[in-house]
Amino acid sequence: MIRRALLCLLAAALPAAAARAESLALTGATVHTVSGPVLENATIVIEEGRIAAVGADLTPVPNTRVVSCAGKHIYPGLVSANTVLGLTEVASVAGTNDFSETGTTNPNIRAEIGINPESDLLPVARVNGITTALVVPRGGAISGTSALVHLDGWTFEDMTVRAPIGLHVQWPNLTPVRGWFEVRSDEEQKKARDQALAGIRQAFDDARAYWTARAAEGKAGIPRHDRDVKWDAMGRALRGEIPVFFHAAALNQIKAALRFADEQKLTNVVLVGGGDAWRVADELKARNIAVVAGPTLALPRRGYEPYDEAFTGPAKLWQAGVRFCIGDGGSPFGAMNARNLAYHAAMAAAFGLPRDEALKSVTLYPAQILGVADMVGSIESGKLADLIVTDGDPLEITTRVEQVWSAGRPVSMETRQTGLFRKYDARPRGAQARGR
Amino acid sequence: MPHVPTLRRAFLFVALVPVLGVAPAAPASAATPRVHAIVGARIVVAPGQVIPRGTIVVRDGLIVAVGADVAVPADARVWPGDSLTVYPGLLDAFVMPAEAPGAPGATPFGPGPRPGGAPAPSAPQPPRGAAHELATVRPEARVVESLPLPRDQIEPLRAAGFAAAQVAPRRGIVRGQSAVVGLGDGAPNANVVRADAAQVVALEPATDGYPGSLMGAIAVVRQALLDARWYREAHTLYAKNPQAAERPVENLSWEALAPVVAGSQPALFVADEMLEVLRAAAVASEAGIVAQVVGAGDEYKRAREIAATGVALVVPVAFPDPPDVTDPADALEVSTEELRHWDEAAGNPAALARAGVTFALTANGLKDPKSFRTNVAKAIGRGLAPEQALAAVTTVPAKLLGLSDRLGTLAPGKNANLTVTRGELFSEKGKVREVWVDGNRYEVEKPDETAKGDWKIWWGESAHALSVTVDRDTTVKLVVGADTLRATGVTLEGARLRFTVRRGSEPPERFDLAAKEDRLAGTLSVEGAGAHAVTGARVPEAAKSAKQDQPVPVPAVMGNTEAWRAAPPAAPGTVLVKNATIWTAGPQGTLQNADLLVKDGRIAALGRSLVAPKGALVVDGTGRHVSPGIVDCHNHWAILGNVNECTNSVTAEVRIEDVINSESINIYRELAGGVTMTHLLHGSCNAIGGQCAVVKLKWGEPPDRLRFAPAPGTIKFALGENPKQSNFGARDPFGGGRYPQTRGGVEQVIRDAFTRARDYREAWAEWKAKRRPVPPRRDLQLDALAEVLEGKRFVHPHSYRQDEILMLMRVAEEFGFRIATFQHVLEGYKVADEMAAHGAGGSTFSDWWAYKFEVLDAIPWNGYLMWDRGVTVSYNSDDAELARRLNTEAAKAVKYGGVPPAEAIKFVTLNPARQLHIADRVGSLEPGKDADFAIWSGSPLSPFSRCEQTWVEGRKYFDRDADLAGREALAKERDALVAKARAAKKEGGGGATAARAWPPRYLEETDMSGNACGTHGDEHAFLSETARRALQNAGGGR
Repeated sequence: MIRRALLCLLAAALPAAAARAESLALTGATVHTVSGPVLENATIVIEEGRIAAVGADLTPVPNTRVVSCAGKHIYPGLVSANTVLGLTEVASVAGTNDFSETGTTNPNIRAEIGINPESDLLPVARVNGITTALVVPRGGAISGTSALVHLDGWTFEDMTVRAPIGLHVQWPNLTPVRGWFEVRSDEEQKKARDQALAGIRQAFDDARAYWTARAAEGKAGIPRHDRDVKWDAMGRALRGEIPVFFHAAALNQIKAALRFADEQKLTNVVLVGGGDAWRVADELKARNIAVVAGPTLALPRRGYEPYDEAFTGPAKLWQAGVRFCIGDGGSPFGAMNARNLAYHAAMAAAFGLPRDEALKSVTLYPAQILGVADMVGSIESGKLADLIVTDGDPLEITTRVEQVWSAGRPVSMETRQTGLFRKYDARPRGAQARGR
Repeated sequence: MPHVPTLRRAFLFVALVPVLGVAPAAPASAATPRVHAIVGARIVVAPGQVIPRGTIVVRDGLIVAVGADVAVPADARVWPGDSLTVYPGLLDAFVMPAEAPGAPGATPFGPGPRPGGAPAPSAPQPPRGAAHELATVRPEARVVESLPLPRDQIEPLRAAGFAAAQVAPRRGIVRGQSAVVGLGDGAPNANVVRADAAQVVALEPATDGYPGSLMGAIAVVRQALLDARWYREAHTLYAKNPQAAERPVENLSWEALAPVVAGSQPALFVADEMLEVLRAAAVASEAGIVAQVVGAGDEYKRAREIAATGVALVVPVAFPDPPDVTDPADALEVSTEELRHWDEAAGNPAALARAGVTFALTANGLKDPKSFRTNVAKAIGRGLAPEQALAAVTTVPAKLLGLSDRLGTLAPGKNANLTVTRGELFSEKGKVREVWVDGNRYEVEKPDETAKGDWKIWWGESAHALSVTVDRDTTVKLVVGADTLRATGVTLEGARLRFTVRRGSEPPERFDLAAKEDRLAGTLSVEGAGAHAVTGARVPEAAKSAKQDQPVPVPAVMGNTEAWRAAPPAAPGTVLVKNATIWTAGPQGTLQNADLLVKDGRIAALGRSLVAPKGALVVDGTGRHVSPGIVDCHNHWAILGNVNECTNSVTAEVRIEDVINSESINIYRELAGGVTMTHLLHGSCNAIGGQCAVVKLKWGEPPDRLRFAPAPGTIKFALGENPKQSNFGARDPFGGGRYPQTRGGVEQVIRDAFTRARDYREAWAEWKAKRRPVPPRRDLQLDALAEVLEGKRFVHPHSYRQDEILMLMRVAEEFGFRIATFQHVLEGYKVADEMAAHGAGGSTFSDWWAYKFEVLDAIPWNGYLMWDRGVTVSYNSDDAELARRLNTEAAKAVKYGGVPPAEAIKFVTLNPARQLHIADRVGSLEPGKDADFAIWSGSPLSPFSRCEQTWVEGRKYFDRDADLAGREALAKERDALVAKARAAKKEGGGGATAARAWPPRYLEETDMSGNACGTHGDEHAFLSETARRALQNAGGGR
C-alpha cells in the first residue's frame, strides 16, 4: 500500500515533458520481458521514452532518476488488437459514436482522426494495463484504415503510434440469419449480401485499375488522371505495404475471403475474429496468414458446438502453428470494458494455451501482427517504454496494476471511476456499515 | 348417378362462381334415388376389423347394412367393388380455411408497427359490439357462419381421402368455434355435422398491441377463462336481486366461453411446438377445462411428459425437407438439431403411440394434402401400426369430436362417409378412387390405364420381367432367362404398348399389349410361328420402395445439445468428495484438504478425513476446489419467445414460469460454468413487468421440473431509460409515445398500480364480509400486486440511478412493503446506506458501465461499497455468456475494493440465494442444504481454473471428462446426418411437404427485443414476435 502510494506520488510529480527528457531506471522488479527470459531483481533503463537497457545487473549511470519497484512485477503494456476505443463514449447514445460511417465502401476513413483524447473510456482501459490499442473503423464493408494509439496523450496526433496499420474489410455474413434481431427474410438478406460482396470486388478492381493508370502517368502519350480519395487510400494495401484485415468469423466467410485475397493477389492479409479459423489452420499456416482471434469470452457460434468452442480457438491455432494474437472482439458495446482483454487470454490458457503463450497473445504477438513490434509488445532495448507495474500476473483478475508507463511517462492512475469511488467511499457512513 | 353435374348444373355453376364464389347446392329437381350397394369389396369396418369380401348398403346418406352376406336391396344402384377397399370416410380433425390473399390480417404486420420505427399506436379496430376488449379474443366467432370452405380446398382434401373435417378459425388467440363438416359439394346447411364443436385457442401473440409475447398470450387465455366463470356467477347473483347493485357488464365473448368453462365444449389449443403442448395442457388443467391440442410434429421429443398430461393431440405429418448441406462450409450453419429433426420427424406418430398418447393425424401443414397418405406411410415405416394410423383419421377424431355415433366406422346408422381405395390406403401404390360423403359419391381418380411401370408377364409356361420406363424416350426391357433384352420399335400410347425384341439370330418377336389397371393382356407374334396370348400383372411399387430407412442413431453422451435426449444423471445415494479445498460460503469459511459428504441429494457433512460410507461414490478432490453451485440472480436465457411483454406499462399478470425454455442449450453451457440455479426475469421494458421464475439447471427435465418450487414469487419492475423508452430508436427526445416518458411518470405508474391493488384487496375484503352482492372480478395483474403488498411476492427492480433507487424505496415504504433486491443498481453505491436501512439487496454487474447514458457513473467498486455499507450484494450476469464465468466475476470484488475471497465467493452463491429467499436450501455448503456444488481445477476466483464437474441435488449434471469423451461420437453422427441429407437432396428431397420454417421457438435465441439495455439498438426490436416470425418466414428459405 505504501509503495503504491509512492509510485502514485511520483506520477503526479512528473510533468510529461520532464519525464521524456530525463533518464530513468526502474529497479528491483521481476521483469517479464516476454520476448526473452524472466529477469529477477532487474533494472529497466528508460531514455527519451524508450527502453535503453534491461538486465539483472545494470548499474544506472549518474543523473538517472531511480524508481524502486522492489517486490513488483513489470510487464510490457498490453496491446489491444481490435477496438473502437476513442470512437465511442456511450454506445447507445448515437451522438457519441464515430466508429461506423455510412455507406459500404469507405477505404479513406482514418480511425485516428475521430479519436477523442478526453474519452473517459481510455483511462479506464489504461489503468488495467492496456497501453496501446488498435482503433478500427467498423462501418459498411470496406471500413477504412486502423491506427495504433497510445491510450494517453494530449491530442490524437500525440497519441498515434502508427497509422495506417491496415485496411479493414468486414466480410458479409453469407448464411441468412434467423433470429428475433433479424427481420429481413432469407431472400432479402441474400440480396444484401450479394450486393456487399459485389461492392467489395468492385472497389478492389477499380482501385487496382486506378493505380495501374497512375503508374502509367508520365509515360509517352498517357494523360494525367484525376485523383480519387477512396482509391488513393487503398494504394498501400493493394501493394502489400500494409495488411488487409478481413473480419470474418464463419468458415464460409473465411474461405470466401481467402479466395478473394487469392484472386486479388493480396500478399499481406490478416484475418480478424475467425471463430472458425482453426478449421483452415493448415491453409493459414501455409499462406502465413495471421489471425487476430477472439473474443474467447464468447458463446459457441452454433448451438451444436462444444460449450468451450470459443475458449479453445487460440490453443488450436497455436497447436497448428498459425500466427495469432487475442483481441476482445472489438464490439462497440464492449469498448467500455476493453480493460478486460487479459482475461480473454487467461480463458484461452485455461483451455489449452500455454500460459506464456497467453501472455504473448496480448503483448508481443499483436505487436508483430500489427507490424509494430519494433515499438511495443515486449521489454527490449529500443522499444517504447510502455510498461506496467503489477503485484502479479496481469492475466489473473485479482492482480492489481499499480503503475502504468506510457512511452517512458508514468501515467495518471486516476479515472472517472476512481474519482467517484473516493467521493462516495468518503460519504458519512450509515448505521449498518461494516466496522472499520 | 347422383351428384354428377348435369349440363344444366354445370352451366349454373360456371355462371354463379364469380358471384358467390361457392358451389351451389344440388338443385331440388335432382330426384335420383340415393340407394347404393358396393358389392364384393374388401371392407375395413373399423381399424383392425376387416371383411375380406362383403357388401355395404347406403340409403339416404346413412349406412344401412355392412357384412359378408348382406342382401342388396332391389332399389339399390350396384357398384362393383372387386379389387377395391372401403374404409370409413377419413376425418381430418384440423383444417383451417384457406386465406384469400390480401384478406385483412393476412399481411405479416397488420395495421401496426412497421420496420424502421418505434411502435405505432394501435390502429382502431372495427366495432364488434359488447365483446372482449382485445381483437384477438373472439370466442363468439363461429366457423359455421362462414362456411363453406372454398372448393379448391375441399377437392384436394377429398383427393387425399378425407370425407369430413373439423374446420377451425385461423386468426387470433381465442379464435372462436369450429365446425365439423362433410366435404361434399352441397350447401353448408347439408354438410354441417356439428356446429360449435370446439373453442379454438392459440397461444399466439397479437401482431399489433397487447399481448406482444407468448407469455402475454397465455395470460390473456388464463384471464379470459377466469372472466367467463366470473361472468356466469356475477350475472346469476345479479339476477337474484337486480336492485342491489349496478348491473354487471355485458360481454358476449365471456358469454361465448360459458360452454368451455362448464366443460361441455372442449378447447382445441393450437401449438407451435411441443413445449406449447405441455403449456396448453397445464393452462387447461389449471382452468378445469377439457383440452385437445393441435401439435406441430415434434411431440416425440417430450412424448412421455405429453402422455402424462392426458391431453389428446391432433398431429401433422408435414415432415421437413432435407436441409441444404451441399457445400461443406455452408453445412456448418445447419444445426445438428435441424438435421436430426429432419431425420426423425416421420417417427413422431409412432413415438406418441408408444408413449400412450391419444392422437389424431391431420393433413394440416402439408403444402398439398395429397402427400398425406404417403407421409402416413412413412410414419408406418417408422413403427406406427397401420391400424393405429387408420384410427387416427377415423375413430380417434370421431371420439375427440364427440361424433363416434355418426363417424369413424362403417356401421348401420352412421353417416355414409366412405373412403374407397385401390390398394392399401397408406402406401405409395394405394390410390383413393372415390370418397363418399353422406351417401354422395365423389370420384377422385380415374383408374390407372398406363403400361408404364414394372410387370411380370407370362406366355407359355414361364414368367418374365418387363420394365417400361419413360424418361425422354420410352425404354422397354424384357428379361428372359439370364438375358436382359432391350426392345426396339417401342410405341406407348396410354394403355397400349407395342415393341419388338430379338434374341440372337432368332426371328423378331413382336409384342402388342394393353394395360388395364394392374393387368396386362395381349399377344406375342413371331414371324412364321403365329401368335401367343400374353398376360401380365403389375409388380407392386411397394416392393421397390421397401428400402429400409432408419434414423441415424444419436449417441447417448454428455455434451449432446438437445435437452430432451439427456438421460437423468445417476443418483448415487452417497457421494464423498475427498481432499479438496472447499469454499463453503458458510460459517466454516474455506476448508483446506477437506471432504464433502452428500447423502440423498443433501449435504450430510463437511470436514477432514470423513469416512466414506459403504457404497459411496468417491470423487478425488486432490488439487481441486469445491464451491457451492453458482446462483445467477439475473438472467433471461432460457425463456421462450419475447422476455418482454412490452406493450403496456404494467404487465404483472404475465409469468415467466409459463415460458421456461427447458430446451435451451444455455442450460448445459451454464452448468459447464458451475451454475446450478438462475433467476429468469421478465425484461425491463415496462415499469411493472412480469412475474419471474427461479429455476434449477436440471438439464433434460421439462419446464415445470426446472422450476424451484420452494422459491417465493418474484416480480420484475424497471426504472429509468428502459420503461421510459429512451433508447427506442429515433424519436422525439422530449417524449411522445407510450406513457411514461420520464422518471416522474414511471413513479406515477407504480404508485397508480399499487393504489389500484390496494382498492382491489379492499373490494375482496368487502365481498368476504358480505358487503358486496357480486364478487369482484379476479384480475391476475392485481392479484400479483396484491401479493407484493402482502409481502408474499418479492420485487426485483431494474434500476441504475440513485434517485430512482431512492424513489422506489420510498414508494414501497408508503405502501407498506419492502423492495427485495435492486437489479443492476449501478449507482447503488451512492445510496448504499439508504438501501441497507430499507433492507434491500443489490444484484449488480461487477464492472459494466457506459453502455447507456444512465450508467456513466457505474464503477467497479459498486459491489464493494454496497457490501461495505451492509447491503447484501450479488454479482449477476444478465447474459448467457457471462453467466458461465460468474466465479471470476466474484474475483473482481477482490480486485476492486479488496473484499476477502471467502466473502467474494458469496457474491455469486450465498448472497444471490439470500436475495431470492432460498438461502435455507441453497447458496452455501452446509449440512442439510441441497448438494448443489461445482468442482474446479483450481481456485474458483482464478480465470485459469476450469469447472470440471457440476452437481445438482447430488446428481452430476456436468462432467468435463465425459463431455470431452462424447465429442467424437457426436461428430461422427453429424457427419452421417450431413451425408444422408446430401444424398436425400440429390434424390430430389424428401417430398417437399412441410410449409413450416426452422427453427422452432425453443431453439431460437432468447428474444430480448424491447429490453433496450443498449446492447440491442435495433429498431426492429419493437415488432411483436408474431410479426417478426411472419416476416422471417415470408422469404421461404431452407
